[in-house]
Amino acid sequence: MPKIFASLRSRLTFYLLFSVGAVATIVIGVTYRGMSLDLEDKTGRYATLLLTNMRGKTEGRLRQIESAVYQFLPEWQEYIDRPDSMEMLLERMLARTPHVVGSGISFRPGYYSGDKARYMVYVYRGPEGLLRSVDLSNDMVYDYPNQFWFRNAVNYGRGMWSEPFFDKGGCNYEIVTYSLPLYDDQMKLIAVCTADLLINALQQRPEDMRPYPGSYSFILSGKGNFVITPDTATSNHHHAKISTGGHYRSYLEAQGNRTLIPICEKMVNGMAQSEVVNSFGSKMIATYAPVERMGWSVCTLIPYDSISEDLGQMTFKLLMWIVFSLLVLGTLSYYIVQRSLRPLGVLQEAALKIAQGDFDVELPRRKRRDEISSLRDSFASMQRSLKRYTKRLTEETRKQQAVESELCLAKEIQNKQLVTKFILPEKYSDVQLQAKLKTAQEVGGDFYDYMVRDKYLIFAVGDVAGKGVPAALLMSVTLTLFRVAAARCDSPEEIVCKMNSDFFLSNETGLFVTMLCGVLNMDTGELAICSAGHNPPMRLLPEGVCMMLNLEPNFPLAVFEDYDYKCDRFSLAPGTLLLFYTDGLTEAMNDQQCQFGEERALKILSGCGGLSADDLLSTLETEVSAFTAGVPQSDDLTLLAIKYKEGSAEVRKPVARPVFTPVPEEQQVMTDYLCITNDLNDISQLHDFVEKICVQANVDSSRTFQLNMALEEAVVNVMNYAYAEAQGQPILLETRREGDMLVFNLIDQGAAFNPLAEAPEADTHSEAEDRPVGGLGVLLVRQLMDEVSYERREEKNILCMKKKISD
Amino acid sequence: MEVKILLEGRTSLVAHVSGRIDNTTVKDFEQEIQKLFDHPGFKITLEMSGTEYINSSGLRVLLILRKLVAANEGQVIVRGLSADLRHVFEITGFDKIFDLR
Repeated sequence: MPKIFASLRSRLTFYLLFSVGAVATIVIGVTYRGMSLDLEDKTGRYATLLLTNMRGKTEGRLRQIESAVYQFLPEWQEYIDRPDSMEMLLERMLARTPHVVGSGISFRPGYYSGDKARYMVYVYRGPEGLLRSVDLSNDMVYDYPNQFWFRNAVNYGRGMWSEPFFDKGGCNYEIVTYSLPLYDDQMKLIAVCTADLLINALQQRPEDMRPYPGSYSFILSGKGNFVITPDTATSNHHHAKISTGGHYRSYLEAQGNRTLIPICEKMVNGMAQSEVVNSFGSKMIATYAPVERMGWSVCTLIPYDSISEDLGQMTFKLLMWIVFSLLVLGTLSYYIVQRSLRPLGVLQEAALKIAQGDFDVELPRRKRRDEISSLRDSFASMQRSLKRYTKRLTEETRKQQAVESELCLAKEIQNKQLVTKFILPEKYSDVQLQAKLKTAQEVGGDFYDYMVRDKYLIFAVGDVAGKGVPAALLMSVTLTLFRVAAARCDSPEEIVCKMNSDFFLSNETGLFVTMLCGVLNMDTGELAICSAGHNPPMRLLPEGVCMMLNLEPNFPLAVFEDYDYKCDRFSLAPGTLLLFYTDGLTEAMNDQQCQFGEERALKILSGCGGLSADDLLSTLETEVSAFTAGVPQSDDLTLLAIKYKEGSAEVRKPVARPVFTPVPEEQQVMTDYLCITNDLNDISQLHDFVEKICVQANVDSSRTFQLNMALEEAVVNVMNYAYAEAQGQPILLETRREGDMLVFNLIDQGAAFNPLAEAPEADTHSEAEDRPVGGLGVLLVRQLMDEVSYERREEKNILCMKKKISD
Repeated sequence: MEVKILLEGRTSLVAHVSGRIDNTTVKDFEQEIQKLFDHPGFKITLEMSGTEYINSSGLRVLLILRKLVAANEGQVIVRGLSADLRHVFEITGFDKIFDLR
């Protein structure tokens, strides 16, 4: 694109000039053409005028001669009988008529008799202007009666003009002759009177052609001979020596100018018109018309150039003026446009400054109310808006950053809530516990925790519904509730129930929590799990057999206030590894929108037989990372693995069926725990515990009373005797249901003591005096329970008491 | 646990025992019962309709009481026992050494 189109200024100016120039050129062109035609027309008419003029003149001249001759006749008639006077008469006529260059009278041979039988007299003007006479009467060479001027007139019978000729022997000029035959009363010819006209006299004078130099004319006789030739007018001589042209055809062909031939033809045919012709290379306008009187035709040629020269000059001047005007216009408009567009430049600079951040740029004021001022006003309004929005945005960003830094802090706080060291008591060093939690966002909703109370490992894995801050806050609450519940409750369903009801004291968010709580007896491998709507755990045997554990599907926490949570019980074989997780594992997505899934996890796990809990979690984590391959994590991922008694397991042959199957409903074992210390004040806990158990098992009030009493006696016994002086020692009361019996195991870690053996059987039959003081407690136990047995196992005293609770 | 001792007639003492007698309260119980020994020869009645519970240590106290009273040729009547407590007395053979009403 040429540079002229780059700038608005030059573009506008260019368009303006171009338009004006184009319009002007068209106007000029049209005007020129119109004027040109007009001029042609006018010229034609002028030429015609000239022609008419010329014809008129010519005709006038001819008529003059004719009338001179006619005027001569009366005189001649007077002197008819005096032939010698003829010369005098002729002289007189010549004197009278300056245009006649010669005149003569030629008698019919034999009119006069004697020596004047042949008689002609001719007088002409000599070069000096003197009159001369010639007597060719008896010149037999000349033979006047046979001269064409004599014979033609006689034949014609009337006055007639001759063709142009050179009168050799006569006046020796180029002339045309008027011959008038004279007759007597009997119509017999007497004589022929002649008058000669110089052809020169018919020639157009240059003055007559004044307006159009270069014009000329010619005359053709009736026979097509040039009376005046076309090229004679090109010379400026007044009386140039001319020669008769002869016939037009031969003349023009000899000249090499054939273009006039058609015109001459038309002229000879008596036509009259005006046409454009090319003569001698110049464009001419030829106008011709006949001179009827003598059958001649006159043609005037006007050079086209001379008429159009004016027009051409005028147009050229006009063009020059227009070009000049365009230049001036161009310059003017360029500056006008530039000036008008200057405000745009100012606005542009202001825009640049605003883009660089300076919102306080002052836009120029404008007095005139036009498009530029509207633009300026819009611009100003935009500037104000920008300023406002930027301010607001800066403020918002600042707030946002404050929130984000607080969230970071929140994440730290939350991270610190979760246990990272999994240290079990030394005696349980063969039990492995490991957990990992990877949050998806800054703060998450997953949690895990564990607690060791005695031989019990109480753990939980959970997932608060939702993500982000609300889930995180609820997660903290849940974690705390778990810790409180796990410290006081001994069974998973108790813990879950307590947490659930505690939720309803404070939770109105409508969010719920899925959770899995488990209590593992690290001595016996008995595991109780309560699942509150959580993902079922996976169990891996050292041989690599891996499957899901189907648990009672209770509702999640914080859904129903009084939901009755049920738990499941299992026994773990040594070497068993349990994996607990949240749906961050099974729902981890890769870039094809595929989920990780339970099958994949089971498959990976089955390849991890024999691995430690730590190694297994690392392996699983690596596999999940590889699977998701860079896709951002969408949910918290929690993994908790417990390996029971690694290393003490004999590698078993793969079993046909799983080691434990879910216990059928009827045989569902309820195991509850009560762990108290050897402090008599804890007895009330015992009573609460017994109450609860009995309510659960629908035990009638008498039996409940009896159980209370028996158990209290047994427990008090242990408190008194098992630990000697030691304080705060644990006493565990385990209970489970066996069919229609409640089984209680009272377990302590104190010195070996069999209450059934040490305390003597009380004698219930002897008199009071005879009754020993001690042993009553044991007696009560024995009497109130149906079966009582003692066992010392693994440094523990186990007193097993069973009571039938239904009939 | 509360023991209220009231004189009934000129030679009869009634001890109203209410509450629970367990290891936490047995010492108080024993102290209260001791007061009954200050009146030898009186007929002692233990009104135990308000007694919810008594454990072996409580029973022991009762036994001691009986022994002491028996030494003075007194009588201990126990009345108002709940069915459960009565059963306890039966299985421990206390029904034979106390006059249960």
